[in-house]
Amino acid sequence: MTGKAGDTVIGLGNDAIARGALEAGVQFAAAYPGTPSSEILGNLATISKESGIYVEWSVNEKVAFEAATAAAWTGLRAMASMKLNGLFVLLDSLVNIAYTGHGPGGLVLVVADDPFAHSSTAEGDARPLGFYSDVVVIEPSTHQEAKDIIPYAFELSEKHGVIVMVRETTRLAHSRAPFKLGKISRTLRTAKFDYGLPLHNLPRPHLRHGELHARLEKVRKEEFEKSPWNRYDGPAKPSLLIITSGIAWKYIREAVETLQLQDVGILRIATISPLPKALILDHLKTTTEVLFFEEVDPYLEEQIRSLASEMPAKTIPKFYGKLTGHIPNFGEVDINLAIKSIAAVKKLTYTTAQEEYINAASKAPDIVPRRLLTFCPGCPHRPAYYSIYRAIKRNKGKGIVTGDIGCYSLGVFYHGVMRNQHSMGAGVGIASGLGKLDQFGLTDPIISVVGDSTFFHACLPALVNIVYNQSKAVVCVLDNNATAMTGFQPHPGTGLTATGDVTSTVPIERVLKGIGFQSVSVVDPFNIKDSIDTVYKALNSEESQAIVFRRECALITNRQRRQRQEPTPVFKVDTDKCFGEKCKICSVEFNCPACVWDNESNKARIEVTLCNGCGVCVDICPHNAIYQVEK
Amino acid sequence: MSNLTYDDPFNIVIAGVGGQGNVLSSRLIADAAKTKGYFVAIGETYGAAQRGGSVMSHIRISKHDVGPLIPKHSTHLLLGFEPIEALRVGSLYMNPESIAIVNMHPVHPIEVLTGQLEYPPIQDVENRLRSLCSRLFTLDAVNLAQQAGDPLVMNTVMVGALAGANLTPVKENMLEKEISKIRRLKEVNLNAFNLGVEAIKKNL
Ligand code: SF4
Ligand code: SF4
Repeated sequence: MTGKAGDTVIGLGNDAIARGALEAGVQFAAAYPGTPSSEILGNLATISKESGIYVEWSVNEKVAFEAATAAAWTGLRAMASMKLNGLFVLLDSLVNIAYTGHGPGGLVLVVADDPFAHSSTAEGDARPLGFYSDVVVIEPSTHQEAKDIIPYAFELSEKHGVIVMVRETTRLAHSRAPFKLGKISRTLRTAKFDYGLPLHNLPRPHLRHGELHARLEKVRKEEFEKSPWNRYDGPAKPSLLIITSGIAWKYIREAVETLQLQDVGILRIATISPLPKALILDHLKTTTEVLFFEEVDPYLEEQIRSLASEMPAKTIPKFYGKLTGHIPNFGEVDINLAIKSIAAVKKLTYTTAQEEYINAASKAPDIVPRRLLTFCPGCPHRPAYYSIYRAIKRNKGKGIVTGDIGCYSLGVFYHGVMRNQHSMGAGVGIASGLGKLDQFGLTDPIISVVGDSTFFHACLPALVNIVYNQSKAVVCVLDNNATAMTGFQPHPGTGLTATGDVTSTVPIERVLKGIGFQSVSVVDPFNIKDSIDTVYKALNSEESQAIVFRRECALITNRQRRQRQEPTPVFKVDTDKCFGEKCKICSVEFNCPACVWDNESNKARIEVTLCNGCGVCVDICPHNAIYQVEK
Repeated sequence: MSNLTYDDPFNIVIAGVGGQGNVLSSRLIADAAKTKGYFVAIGETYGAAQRGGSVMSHIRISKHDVGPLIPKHSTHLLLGFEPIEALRVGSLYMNPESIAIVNMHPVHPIEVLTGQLEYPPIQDVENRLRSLCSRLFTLDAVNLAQQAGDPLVMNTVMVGALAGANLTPVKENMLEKEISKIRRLKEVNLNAFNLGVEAIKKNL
């Protein structure tokens, strides 16, 4: 991050973006954690103090973007970064701020798409959203470009009064490659508020819309038609023109090399919106066949097809891509798909190994058991879910659990306890609706499970709705004192800021009380009996109920133990007392990975190398077979 | 393959389970290659690394700025941190010329731990791996790591094994230098590295 100008370092695409922000002189950076974007702000947070910039984990992406807008309004360079889902959250603000402009400063929004949904609940594409929101969109293809494009984005934003969105995808964000560092900007601007520069669209928003389009048209003509960020490699008259953007360009380049095709041309578009129409039309004229190779949606494909309608009908090339079924319209693109799709269009056969070998290889792993994701040993979410699971059992199986986004989403795998999973906060909204269906005959109790970071991010309006409209949903907050899923970023409940400073805590139980929940209990999920009883009572109560399960993440407990050089408590199974095969409650039902099954004795055994010493299994076992070994 | 010229890009796949130090090892190999002036790209699939899921790294050593993903059946070397993960990933990325170095110490999936599924016989896994590559080196890297002082430095044993095999553009001394930069458990790591080197050299 702080390396010397001229040095080459190996880093993530996200490291490169963070460095680019420093070189651009960013003074205000805000974000909400989300894979694959979190390292951008995480990096900036580590050096915020020495470089005099302001960095915050905001409560959600919308607030992050609005806070960054404020800084740009006063003349600073400001950046908000997030995963694609964050862009969904802030679209309303984005569209409005694009109209009004954001003052003299530079405003850059970095959005990380997650094709294949490696660590997301859905795939999506930021490019068309940027296009519809009337912001400028650019996309780097390499780590070097990821760094260099950020200062360029700020220049564009300030020069033309536009919001610049930089799109990256997982394979750039989370791959490592070398990039050469430039000079870090040391000039810090002073924030000045211009009272003569109000930011609103009144009285005639539609006229501001027109002005915005004129600004974008200027960006197209003056910047993007001749932009060095777009590049073409190949012959003057290629037999096949491949149009691509982002890291997909690297796959295509390697594929063309692998297939040794000299007559194929590659047009790499980095200026995604507004598109350089003249440049693209010039290229379409040189060929008869075009293959679109892009990540997630057929954005370039649709835009360029409609552009081609300006050509004389006979000269319009034949198009291949997601719309024609030559590239799948879901999942991520990769080097294999690049080779395969070019070979298909060019009617070539290419294999990396003999068919016989590939067939044998594909059968080789048929003895490999699957590796299901599960909560860590000692994770507080497991006993919390177990309590809910048992309480529902005690309630004769009646109880519908709605879920949310976070580590605790693994609840969908935990005896299928969690019934749905959508976007941040959606579980509470859906619970709120389910809890109002008794007049139509649905009388089952409703339980909404949310994590602590999610609670602040998007749950508050839905919680107010539950109280205001008297929905009978029971709200369970799993508070493990961190945004564990994305790497332990602090949030308003933790009392720490992005830069590790102590700040006021927003206690979850007081928020729930303040909203108006009649009963708010705080339980320790490690106290399993108490937890089950509390949930069971809540299911059958007439009052509005909220339960906070509070216990810190096992990984934090572990780290602290290591720092204090404390040993992990040791637990054992008394094989004389263990009920064996017929029970299996600790291993199969409670499902702690450290409660392993010993096939020889046909009894449970605690695997010390996995056990985190939480002690919950002691209370889980109905036959008192598990005990702590005294030191 | 001669020791002087290597295919470009030279491809290495590491297959393992979250928490085994997969990511750290790939960074170490990359840093070592960088000191020789190579361009190195690492592609990682580690979305679920902290929760016991499968983790895979692609390392590509080249003179050009190559992409982060290795094409199917195109790895020169497979570094397996766990037997069934090596088989799962190896079956996708190896070809008959590939060489595999695999730690045969299993990490059981949750359903095996709880007695719902069975871990396949280790000899079976080994035979299948062998049938997919030109040469298979096996070792118990956890055991060696324990000898070095901490079972958690298994990944360093494996980097040592990679160094000792002398099959890649990154050489033993370059890798050793990177290992010596590790601050936590430096001596243990160096021991582990050397045990890995020796274990492989005995088998060469
Ligand atoms: S004490 Fe019991 S429940 Fe807790 S981690 Fe160890 S085996 Fe699992
Ligand atoms: S819960 Fe107790 S009795 Fe049942 S299998 Fe586990 S140790 Fe044995």
